[in-house]
Amino acid sequence: MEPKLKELVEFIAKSLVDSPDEVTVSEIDGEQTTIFELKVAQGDIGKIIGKQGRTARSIRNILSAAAMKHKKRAVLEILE
Amino acid sequence: MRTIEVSGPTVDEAIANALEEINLPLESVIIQILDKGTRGTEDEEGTPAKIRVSEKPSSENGIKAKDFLNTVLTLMGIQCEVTYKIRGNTILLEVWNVPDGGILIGYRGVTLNALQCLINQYMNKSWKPGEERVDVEVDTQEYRQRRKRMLTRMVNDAVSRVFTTGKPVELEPMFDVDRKFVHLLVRDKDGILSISEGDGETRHVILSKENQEAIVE
Repeated sequence: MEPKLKELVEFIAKSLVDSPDEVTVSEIDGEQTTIFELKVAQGDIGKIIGKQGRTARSIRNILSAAAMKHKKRAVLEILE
Repeated sequence: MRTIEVSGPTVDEAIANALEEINLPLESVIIQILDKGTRGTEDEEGTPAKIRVSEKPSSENGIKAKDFLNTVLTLMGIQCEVTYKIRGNTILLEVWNVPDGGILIGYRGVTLNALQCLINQYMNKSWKPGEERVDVEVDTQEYRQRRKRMLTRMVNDAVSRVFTTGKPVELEPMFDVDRKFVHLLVRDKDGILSISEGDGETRHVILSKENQEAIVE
C-alpha cells in the first residue's frame, strides 16, 4: 500500500482546524527530500502548532514515519 | 462530555436527581460518590449526599476516533484493522494485523504517541473549559503494557539506588506519556520524590529522597 503523504498532511490539518476550507498543502519534490508546505487560516495556526509545538511535532513524526516506509525523507513547513 | 455535581438526601436520591438533570439513562453515565452524607438524628440534621455524574464516552465517540485513525493509517500506507473499546473514561483504540509493527510504534513509541496526541486533539476540538475531556489511548501489539512493565522495572531499580547511595538518580529522557506514568508510580513509594527537568528532547525525571534537594552533581 502506497502512502499518500500530501493527502495525509491535508487530512490531519483539516481535522484540527476551524476553517478546513482554508487549508492548502503544496508539495516540492527534491532528489531525496520532499517538502510539504502547509498553509492554514491565520486564526488556526495555534491549533496546528499546539502547546509547546506538540501538535506540529506529532504531525512531523507521523509524516516521517510514513515517508520512511518508502525510504524517503519528508519535511513539513508551516507557513505563517 | 458533560459533568454535573448533584446532592440529595441520600446517594440514591442524588443519582435519581442527576439522571433527570443530565437526561441520560443509568448505563450511559459514570457516577462518583463525593460524600455519602449522614442520616440525621433527632437532635441533629443530616448532611446531604453529594455525587458527580459524567457522561460515559459514547460509542459514537469511539467510532469517530476509530474512523480518524483508520484514515490516517491508510494515508500512511499502513494496511491494518482498528477496533475500539470503552474502558471507564477512556476510549481505547487498538491496531491489529500491522505488517511491520515497528513503523507504527517508532523509537520509544514516538509514532504511536504522535497518533495518540493528534486523535486527542481532534476529539477535543470543541472542548470548552469546565467540560470533561475525551481521553483516547492508542495501542498495538500490547506496546503500552510492555512499556509500562519496562518503566516499572526501571523505576524500581532507580528507587533502590536512591536509597542505597542517598543521591538523586536521573532517568533517561522520556516522552510525556512515559513521564506521567513514572510520576504516578513514584507517588506510591514512600520517601521518594520525583520531578521533571530539562526541555523538549532532554526532559527527564529525577528521583530523590524526600527532604533532599534534587540537585544532580
